Amino acid sequence: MKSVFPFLLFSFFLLLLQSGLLPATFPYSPVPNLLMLLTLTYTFFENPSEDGGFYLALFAGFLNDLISPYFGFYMIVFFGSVYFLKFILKNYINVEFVSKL
Amino acid sequence: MNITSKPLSRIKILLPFLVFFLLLLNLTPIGEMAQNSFLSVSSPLISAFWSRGISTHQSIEGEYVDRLQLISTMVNMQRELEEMEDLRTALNLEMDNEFELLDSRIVGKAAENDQLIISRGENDGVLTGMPVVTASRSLVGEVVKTLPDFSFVKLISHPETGFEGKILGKEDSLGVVESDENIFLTMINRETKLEEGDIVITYPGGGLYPGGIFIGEVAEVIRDDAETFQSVRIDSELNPQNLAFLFIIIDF
Repeated sequence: MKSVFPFLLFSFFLLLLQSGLLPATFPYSPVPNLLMLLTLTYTFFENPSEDGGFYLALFAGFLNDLISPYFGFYMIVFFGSVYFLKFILKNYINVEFVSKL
Repeated sequence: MNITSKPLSRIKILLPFLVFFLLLLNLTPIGEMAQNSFLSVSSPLISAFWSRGISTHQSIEGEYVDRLQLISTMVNMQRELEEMEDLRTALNLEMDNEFELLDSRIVGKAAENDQLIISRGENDGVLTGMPVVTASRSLVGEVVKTLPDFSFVKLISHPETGFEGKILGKEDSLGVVESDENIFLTMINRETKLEEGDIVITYPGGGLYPGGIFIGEVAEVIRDDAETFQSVRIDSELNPQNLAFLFIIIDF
């Protein structure tokens, strides 16, 4: 749980990149959802039985919702994505090296 | 790897609170207040990143403009403006020059693609559906959501775009402006003779936008013998250099 706190702060920095720097620098290219990428990457490398990914999903989804006209949409999408990824990782994939990272 | 069968009980407890929280934010003004407060605090930072991005883009593209080039461009623009004025008078277009405009600054990009956040909101008289144009009166999009101090603008490059447009000075050239990866004017009568460089403007009949607002230039005419209609691909002015400041048409 404690390990997720730096990522909560980092997600705000990614929001600034996603909504400020990148779309202005590359106006003709789609900007990836960096917060979603961060959340899924964190969840992938986290122990599947821990729930830090959920907290990060809620926080990152909330941040995304704050700059979206449809409030709540991203929180649900992020939360659902993390739940699905954890379900897959927990039940079907046994990656030994992940926990050693 | 230690995979235990811990049932994520804390998350299951959290779920009802999450649902309640989302309902609270959506069914009460708390959500909008949270958005407005967050944007009020963070908009200087996001704007700074946006400005930095624009200057980075300019340096990447090598679009450095010195003073003489700027003057030259201004002279050319003035000449083109005069030509346009003559053309408009000759064609008796219903272009309304008496729009009441409200200037606005771009805060940043919204979470969705092709949507921007601007620094004017309900407190400034902005309403949902108001058209947004650039300083040179080129159509940008429409306001889709308002907060007390900020608004969300859907660009015309958004995939859900659909409104009536026409080719300047061409009879029977009414069509529908749609967007995919590019902006198109579709459903144009195939008998109408179209050329690259033709100017696409808004048509007032749709009611969404006032008439005569510049949308872009025809970059490519798409005609297929199997199709009943023809369409054109439009080059618009939607890039950050032209979107430094936006203007909301608050009365049309």
